[in-house]
Amino acid sequence: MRTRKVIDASALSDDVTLEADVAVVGTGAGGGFAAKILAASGLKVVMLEEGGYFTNRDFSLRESDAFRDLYQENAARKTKDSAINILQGKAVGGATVVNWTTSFRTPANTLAHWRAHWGLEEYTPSKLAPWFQEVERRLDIAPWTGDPNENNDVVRRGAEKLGWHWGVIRRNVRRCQNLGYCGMGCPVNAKRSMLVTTVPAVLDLGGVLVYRARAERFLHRGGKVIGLEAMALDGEGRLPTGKRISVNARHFVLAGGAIGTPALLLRSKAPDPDDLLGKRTFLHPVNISVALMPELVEPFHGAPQSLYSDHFLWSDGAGGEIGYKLEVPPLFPQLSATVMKTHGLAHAELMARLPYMNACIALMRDGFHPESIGGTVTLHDDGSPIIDYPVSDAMWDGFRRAYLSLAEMQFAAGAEEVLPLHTEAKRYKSWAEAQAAIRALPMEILKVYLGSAHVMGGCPMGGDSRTSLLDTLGSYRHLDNLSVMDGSVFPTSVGANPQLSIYCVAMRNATALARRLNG
Amino acid sequence: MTNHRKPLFPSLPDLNRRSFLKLGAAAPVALSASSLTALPFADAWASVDIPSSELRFLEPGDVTILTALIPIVLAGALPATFGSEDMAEIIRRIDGSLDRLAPYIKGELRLLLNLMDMAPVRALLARVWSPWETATEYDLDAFLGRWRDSSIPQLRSAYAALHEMITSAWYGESDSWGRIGYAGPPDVERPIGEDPA
Repeated sequence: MRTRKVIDASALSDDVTLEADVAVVGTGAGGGFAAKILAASGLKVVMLEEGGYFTNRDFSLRESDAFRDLYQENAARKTKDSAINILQGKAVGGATVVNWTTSFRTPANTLAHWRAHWGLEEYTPSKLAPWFQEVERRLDIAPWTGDPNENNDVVRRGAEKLGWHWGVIRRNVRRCQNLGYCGMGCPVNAKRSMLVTTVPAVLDLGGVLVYRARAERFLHRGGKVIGLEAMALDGEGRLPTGKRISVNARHFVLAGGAIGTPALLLRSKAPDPDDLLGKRTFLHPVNISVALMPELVEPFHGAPQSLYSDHFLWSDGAGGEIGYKLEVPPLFPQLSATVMKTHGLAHAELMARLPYMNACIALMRDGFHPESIGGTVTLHDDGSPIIDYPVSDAMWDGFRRAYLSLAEMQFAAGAEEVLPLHTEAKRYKSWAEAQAAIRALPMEILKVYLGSAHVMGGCPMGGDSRTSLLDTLGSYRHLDNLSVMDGSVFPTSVGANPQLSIYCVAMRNATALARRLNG
Repeated sequence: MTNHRKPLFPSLPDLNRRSFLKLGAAAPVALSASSLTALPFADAWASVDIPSSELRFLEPGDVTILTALIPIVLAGALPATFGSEDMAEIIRRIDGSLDRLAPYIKGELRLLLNLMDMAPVRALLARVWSPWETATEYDLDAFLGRWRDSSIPQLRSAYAALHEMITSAWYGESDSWGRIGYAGPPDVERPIGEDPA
């Protein structure tokens, strides 16, 4: 193994210029896999990462530290109207360092919709299967074989009793100790995140990593990117130090996540003749229902997500009323306290019930229904991104149906009380009481608590140059030597936790790119 | 959830905190009801004083507002021993968190806190008639409830922001965990080494 070349941009005392065959912006699911494939093909790769470089020995497993070090905006990123809280990672390894390891292949219904409406002809389950298999092999993706924790078991018990679909989640872990701290960085390196797989592999192949480096803009001329400018950030990732990093490369791969990627292209004034950049940004918006169970749940222990239900995901067809996936979030004190929008004794009393608490979430499959056009990423004057995500009536209808499904499932699983996270909801003692109340709840922003952990779209692939910015291999149509390989390439939401879809598409398209660059 | 228009202390709506405490000292038996958990130590942090140089985002007026609101938002959660040092500490945590938000959100929060610090705005928008530091528990609790349940999305958003900064600062640290049955993270061996793929 050679000496790894890792540059902490916060410590730079001078501006630097780096040369590479390929510069990869971002080290998350897309950037990590793309960089690995390109480096393994013999190309010299430089990886740029805005976040810090933390390893398993740094993870304190405290929410406050994790949010500070590993999440965008202290885990309090919001949509423009503050209605949706966005959990998004920010570190070497990107969101894969803090995701909950849930690994679904892109649903066949989603691929069929992309082929029918977005010209992604080659995206069939059978053509993608070899790529999925290879990613699954490399990242040890397999169904969770341990017992689900009590928090997840609510899904099984409820769904079984109601005759609904439920299934076991596949996870990217090796020798997992079932601790439950996936969201704060795996302390035992069991999670097969990019931090411990592709990024070190690239370094061992002679690639370079520059972290605490915020990519500012591509310089381009005559339909070609001629350079990348980045700013060094201080050791806390707060402010630019004034030092600059310039990267010259034959090819550039952008994988800054579905907010960072459109933002960088907008700052770069990348050609966008059909005004598509940053549009159709999807969030899988989530609403939440809390249940108080008679037995100890300890929702902070054990694999955070191990069971799910797709009973309502496609019930009205891909383009019909908005479907949703049912899952379970882990509950740790800090985030739990912020989502329960009451205060004083009512809040204190709820928090004291945390060990007996279950929460279930519904992820809205956005971008399929004709009314569901997603949000828009734009820039502030200072160049920082903002996402405006109006909630359509079709989606409010989805949230109301989801509150009902969640409460019904929780009562069927034995809940004593159910509290939909809505400012006008109360703790309901029966399914009948909850059902009547939920039907009357006003569906309005900042009354319905909304979150998101999956940002997708904004720089779509497709077969039609008027409705897509990328061709079906992820090449930017209007700049010859630029590719995009992250969650922003999807023309709709995925309809399932997106990490495995991002790995698969990045691996497929990076393999084609490596062939092209080495050809 | 609880209806916050219902007063926490229905018999004592007009007392400010200081006069309440005097009354409390004079009549300890009458006032020992469990609903008063937030009050017996209420003036322990009357003089929370954090040098401006130690704060990155918050300004002195914000500290006054937070000092008034923290015991209301966290009523029933703060231990009886919670004193002015603890108050200063939780405000420092809030300051650190807010400092890491996006510039435009910081701009919006700055505007909100500056508005709340202006007496006419406080009176008209929050309907808190006395200065934050002397407002009654009842008035502060009612104000929070009105913003939470407001028909104006901006006021609901302001409630959400105040709620998030205060609850996350408290429940993010271990001093809050004992009361809610969370033992904290496990102590595990940290193996060295990745397994590149």
